[in-house]
Amino acid sequence: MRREIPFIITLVVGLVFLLAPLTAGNIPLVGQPFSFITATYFSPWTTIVAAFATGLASVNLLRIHANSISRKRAGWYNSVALVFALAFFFVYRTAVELLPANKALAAGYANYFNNILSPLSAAMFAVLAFYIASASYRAFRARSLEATVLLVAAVLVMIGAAPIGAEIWDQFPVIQRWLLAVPNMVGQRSIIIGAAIGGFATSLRILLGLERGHLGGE
Amino acid sequence: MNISMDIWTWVMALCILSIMSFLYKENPVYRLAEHVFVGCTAGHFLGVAVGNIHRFGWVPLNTKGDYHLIIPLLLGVMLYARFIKGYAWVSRWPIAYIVGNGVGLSLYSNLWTSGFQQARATMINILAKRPDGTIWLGRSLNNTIIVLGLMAILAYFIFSIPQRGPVRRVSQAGRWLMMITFGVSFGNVVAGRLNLLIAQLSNLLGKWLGVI
Repeated sequence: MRREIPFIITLVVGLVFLLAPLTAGNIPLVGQPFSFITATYFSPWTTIVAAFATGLASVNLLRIHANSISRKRAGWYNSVALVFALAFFFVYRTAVELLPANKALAAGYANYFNNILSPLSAAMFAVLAFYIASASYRAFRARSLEATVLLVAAVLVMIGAAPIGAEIWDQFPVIQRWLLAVPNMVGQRSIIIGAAIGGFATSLRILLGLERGHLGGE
Repeated sequence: MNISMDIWTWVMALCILSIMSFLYKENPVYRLAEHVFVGCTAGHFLGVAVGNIHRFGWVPLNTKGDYHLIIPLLLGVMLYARFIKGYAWVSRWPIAYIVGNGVGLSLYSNLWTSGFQQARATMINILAKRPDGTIWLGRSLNNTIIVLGLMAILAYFIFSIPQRGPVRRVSQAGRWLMMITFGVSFGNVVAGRLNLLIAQLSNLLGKWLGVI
């Protein structure tokens, strides 16, 4: 019961999504095609369940930091700031979502979003640029021919994308564009094809019940 | 120098400087900003999620009488059963639903768009010709790299035959092509991050301090 029902849910939902693009006729007794079932029922259902799953992640985060505050672990005051920031943004954003006609509320939220969340996020990723550069120096020091190929491709792309590249040699942007359009495209395409085949094989295993990790192990 | 007197610009500058302070060393101001960032992001997306539940679940259920929406609302609530001792297994039902979604899409739609369509796009004529009928050498070379390169990379991932002899040489060529791809991706990421850095410095020096 605890394992069979979830397996049946996966099987039924998986089969409906699989058959939706493959069949056009109505399902006997239901009187509607599979594509109607996915578009009318399963797609909005997925949006709703995914939204609940987002909440689950936040509840986990809150549990960890509430624990840190209650036990007064090192840096517990940071956890207080996190919980406060989470609660504030959650309440404010929820109010904006539930009262879409209130333009003043949305404008007020935009101030917090544009001047707190957005710069924090952009600065965090900008800072990572320095660490990517230093980490790559350590990782890619041309130790082998393959590492050299990677390094040269990266340098050519960076120089070609920067305005100074064209000033040094007008062919740098041409080389950058060729690298992006030909070798990079081939690599990306191969990876996409490989991932699709891998996804197909894993999905088939799940649908046949050979893979049950999502049901809690085995 | 024309320092801004806008409180929000000061808040923005404080946020950027707090995060940038990590470049000097790990410090309490950075730690605080990092936690605030995580909290704000989680709170924002949680609010958006509530909005989605309201918009796609609660409103149609109450106004249009779409009673089938009770099912995903119930499944969503069941996700939280994992926090109740003895009832954690209940949360497997909504997870099974989400996995079923992904499985169904992967089996046909993803394989079709990401697998077959990409493979079909590679099935091109290696010999490219100009409108006047003469062979276009540059484009033919590109087409050759595209067709043979794809086969070489895929050969690298074939594990059902031993990687020796000619197969090894072909897969070696595939490895080099992959290295170029990873190099290009890496270069793009660094260039993107540097763009963000320039934008933040421009905010500090322009909007806040007014020196540029």
